Amino acid sequence: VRVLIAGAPTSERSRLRIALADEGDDVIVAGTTAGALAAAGGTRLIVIADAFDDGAIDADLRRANPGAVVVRGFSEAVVALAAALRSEEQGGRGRLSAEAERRTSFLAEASPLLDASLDLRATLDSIADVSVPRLADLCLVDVVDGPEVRRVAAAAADVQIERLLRGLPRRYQVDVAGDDPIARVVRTRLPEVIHGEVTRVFGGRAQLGADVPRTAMLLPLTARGRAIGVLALATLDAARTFSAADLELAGELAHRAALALDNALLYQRQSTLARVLQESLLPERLPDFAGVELGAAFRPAGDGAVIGGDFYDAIASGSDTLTLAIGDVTGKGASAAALTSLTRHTLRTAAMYEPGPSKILCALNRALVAGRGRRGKYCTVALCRLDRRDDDGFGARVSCAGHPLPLVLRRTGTVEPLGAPGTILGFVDDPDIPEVETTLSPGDAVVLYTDGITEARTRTGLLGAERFATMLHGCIGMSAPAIAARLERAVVESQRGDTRDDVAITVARVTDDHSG
Amino acid sequence: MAIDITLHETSGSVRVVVAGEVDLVTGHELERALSRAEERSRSIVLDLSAVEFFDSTGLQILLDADHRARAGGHTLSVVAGDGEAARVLELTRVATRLSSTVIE
Repeated sequence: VRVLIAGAPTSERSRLRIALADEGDDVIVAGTTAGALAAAGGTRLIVIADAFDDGAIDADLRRANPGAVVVRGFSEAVVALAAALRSEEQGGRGRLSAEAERRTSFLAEASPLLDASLDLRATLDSIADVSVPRLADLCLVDVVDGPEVRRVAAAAADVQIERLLRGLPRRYQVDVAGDDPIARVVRTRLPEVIHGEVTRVFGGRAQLGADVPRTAMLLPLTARGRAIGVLALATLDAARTFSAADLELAGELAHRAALALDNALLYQRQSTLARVLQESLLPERLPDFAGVELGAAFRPAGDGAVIGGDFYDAIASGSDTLTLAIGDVTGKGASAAALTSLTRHTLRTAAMYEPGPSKILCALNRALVAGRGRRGKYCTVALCRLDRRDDDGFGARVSCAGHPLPLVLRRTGTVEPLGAPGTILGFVDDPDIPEVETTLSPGDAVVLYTDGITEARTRTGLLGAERFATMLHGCIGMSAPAIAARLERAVVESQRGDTRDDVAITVARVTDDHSG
Repeated sequence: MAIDITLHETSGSVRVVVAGEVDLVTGHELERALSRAEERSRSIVLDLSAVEFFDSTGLQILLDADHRARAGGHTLSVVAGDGEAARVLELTRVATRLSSTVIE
């Protein structure tokens, strides 16, 4: 026994054994450290530590075998094995084949590449790139979607052939019960080496010219108990045949590729759904309202795959009253989307018949308290209602329910908070929601925002209201859309792009050349 | 920085001491700790004075716990301290409306 791998979980153990079958007794795969502790001197020991307590490994195992390499996870074990085999060979005592090293190092390289990305395109390109030219000359990845085969990736060692491969139909209908090789492998979930049928998968002379592949391996891409597609690897070398060892190695790659592909497909579906839902929760466009210029910015948390709770709206009632709303519902995901929808529609309805922002918010509070389930439906909102005056200015009445106070950027550059704190909505039957009034003159801008801004985690702590006010002061003289865009960019940059909460901003600026 | 929650059982009440960040990732740990405390005692003190981040996730958990206390007739006292949790409770005007007094 030359190398002993201990601590591999059962599932990985069988895969390790298959991958290492050719090494015979040179590599032993064991489940526990019992064998490892008893290992004879001279044995190289690799311990996959995941299953063990770190302390036990350090104390007992290192004492018994000081040369042991302790790794985490299957990929690291393969890397360590490759290194061990290489050093054996360099020591001149090695009988392990160069082929074995080629295979272990190939898998070691492939695994992190495939695990690296949740992005579907990047994952597919990785699958194709690690296969060519190491395993084959041509590579196709097909995904079966109902009665249709979608060709999602293609690669070839030769650039010219790769261009031709990419010219093959991107999708074609297939009889899932028929004898199409791709449909067959998806059905049986068994790998195959095909000869005569190669052109049915890769195309023949008409598509590829003189370089027609002779032999191909078809590997099912199986995840969560079902085949989602096929990895097809072909050689152009007439003398080359794929051996059982090649098939095993390709199968290992296909196994990893399938998991990565399945993850990426799931993630893509989820983030598309989240984006569509989130967009449906924001106004498609801001209304046109004479004398007031509107701007808004919204940036979902992280990469947008999860629906947050921020929303904004601008509601014109006739030609003289405009209600601006911004809010944040508790929760994330589908429940947040449902609550946001309820909140926005209730606000829109209440804005039509209630006389002022405090009354509008009390109406929303009643709807939320009445709709309470096992968990509460809570929501913070800032409302600003603008009423046109005779002198080109606007009266601004502001109410806040548990929400950061809006700021006003005066034409002169002064920044001041508007309103007074009120009770979060959905919690008590009788919230305290004060209403504060001010006047906006031409050139004044009011800014509503959510706590994703003031609670943004920057290098020097939370961004905070003061730094945000300073950012706003820097927007003097800018239009409403420009102010919203500049503030959003500044906040995102302060977090170096890593936004952990939604960021929403609404800006209304009384225009200078007010003519109605 | 993650969350660190400890439960101290004294005669007749359980004190839940929370330190660190309460957010979407760590919120469920606070929920678990509160439901354990609710199983053990009808008098719970929730100490949030060492909390360094407290957003709408934490607020939801706190308001739901307060609602359960009112509905179930047990007491939930909140120690807000003078940090992040206190700031959020002040902003949302929750402090004066909780079922039990807030010990500052």
